[in-house]
Amino acid sequence: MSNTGLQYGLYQQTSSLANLVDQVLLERRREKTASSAQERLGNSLSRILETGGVPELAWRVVALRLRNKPELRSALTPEITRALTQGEPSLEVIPFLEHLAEILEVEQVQTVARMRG
Amino acid sequence: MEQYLEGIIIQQRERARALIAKIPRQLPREFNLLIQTARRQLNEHIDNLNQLYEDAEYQESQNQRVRVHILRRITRDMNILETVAITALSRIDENEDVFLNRLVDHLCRAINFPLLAPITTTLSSDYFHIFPTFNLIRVPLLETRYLLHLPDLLHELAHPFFFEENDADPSIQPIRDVLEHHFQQVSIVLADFKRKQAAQLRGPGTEYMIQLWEESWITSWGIEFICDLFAVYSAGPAFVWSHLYLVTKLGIGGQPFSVPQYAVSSHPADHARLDLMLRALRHLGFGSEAALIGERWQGLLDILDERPGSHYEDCYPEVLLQPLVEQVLTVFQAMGCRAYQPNQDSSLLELLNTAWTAFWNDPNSYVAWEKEQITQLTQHYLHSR
Repeated sequence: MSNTGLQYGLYQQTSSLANLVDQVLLERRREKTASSAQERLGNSLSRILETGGVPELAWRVVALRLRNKPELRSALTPEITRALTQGEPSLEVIPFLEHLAEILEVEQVQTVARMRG
Repeated sequence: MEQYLEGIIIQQRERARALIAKIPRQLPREFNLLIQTARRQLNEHIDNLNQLYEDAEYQESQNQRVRVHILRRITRDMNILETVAITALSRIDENEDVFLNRLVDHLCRAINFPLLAPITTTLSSDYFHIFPTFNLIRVPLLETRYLLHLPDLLHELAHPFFFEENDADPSIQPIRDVLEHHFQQVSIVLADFKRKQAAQLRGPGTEYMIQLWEESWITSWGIEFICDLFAVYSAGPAFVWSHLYLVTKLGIGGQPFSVPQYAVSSHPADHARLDLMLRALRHLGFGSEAALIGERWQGLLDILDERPGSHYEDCYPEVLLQPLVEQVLTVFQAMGCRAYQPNQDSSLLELLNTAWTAFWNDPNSYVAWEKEQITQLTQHYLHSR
């Protein structure tokens, strides 16, 4: 497969993940603390926190980015994943998701740029 | 600023409507699925743009950044829709594109491909590739006139196994499990190598280089290797000859023994790919063909005066390559796919292999032979139904 196709596959998955993060961000801002989206996001973040490994390709890229950004990696705490998976309020969730949304936005822009060659 | 964003949303909504209107009518039925997908996605974008314009949540100042992010995602998706799907539909060649689609359909049936056959178009600007959302393979404009690159279609067929759209399909779970297990192995093997390098007091440059290898393996190499193996098991020696041909003409992975040092790489080194394909060919029982292709590859390396550098074996360790050869054949069969068998296979897969024999027997007369075969194939696929 040429580079275009490979990059598009990665772009598509990163874009879906960014949608999920934005959806949860909006829910948290209107103080909705439990939903299937939050649970799904929390579970994936929790796997990154515990094992560093997640099956989905886009999440693997996020895990690599977090590993290379120690300040953001240290911001991902058990409190955040617990809040998301168990529907608990937490002041740490929104700032972390804002950072994550930025990482994903940069990732998408860069992937599309690589797609164009 | 909100008004400015709303103006952009209105423009984008108008563009989505214009794209729907741009889809030609009365196209051959081979393209119905692409039309349906493009229309559905454009309608979804219009709905999302309406929400972005009207919903009270998106009027709040704290949500403007999210609003911009969503608008950009819609715009990027629409750009791809316009330049890939709608352009393909607007430029369909009723002979060549229909021929190619029937040929791909035949290949899918021949190997008992477990997913929906992709739609194929001759509008590629970048060799063969597949767009997951549209299940659309693009090949170069003249590819329907030649046989030697066509085995690469089998490689493209394997990419959808790893697309988000097929996450819930249990019939392809075995091959997805192979990739998942492979990812874990990559992390373990490279972490171990990193520890050994640190113990030898290698600098931060080495650590960065290993990070690049890991990202390359995870974002693309693992999938590329598995797709190569799927194509070898489906098409037999024809796919490996085809890859050697491509590498000779273009050099896909950079230098044959390239190892990422400064940036992530989308394709593994050509030697690593050829080496894996030859192992697969031997595993399938084509030892003599593998030896012959290996000789030609070595001949090319000698001409180019290429040999592996000090990190090649560390970047492409045996422990990550050999298990894939065995695991992919096992799951290939577990998914019910048919491995290539000479003289017992579909006429098309047989022809793709015979083409290579004809090419090597007499490259000078091959051109005329190939033209005759293509004429017969075209007649068969265009007039057989």
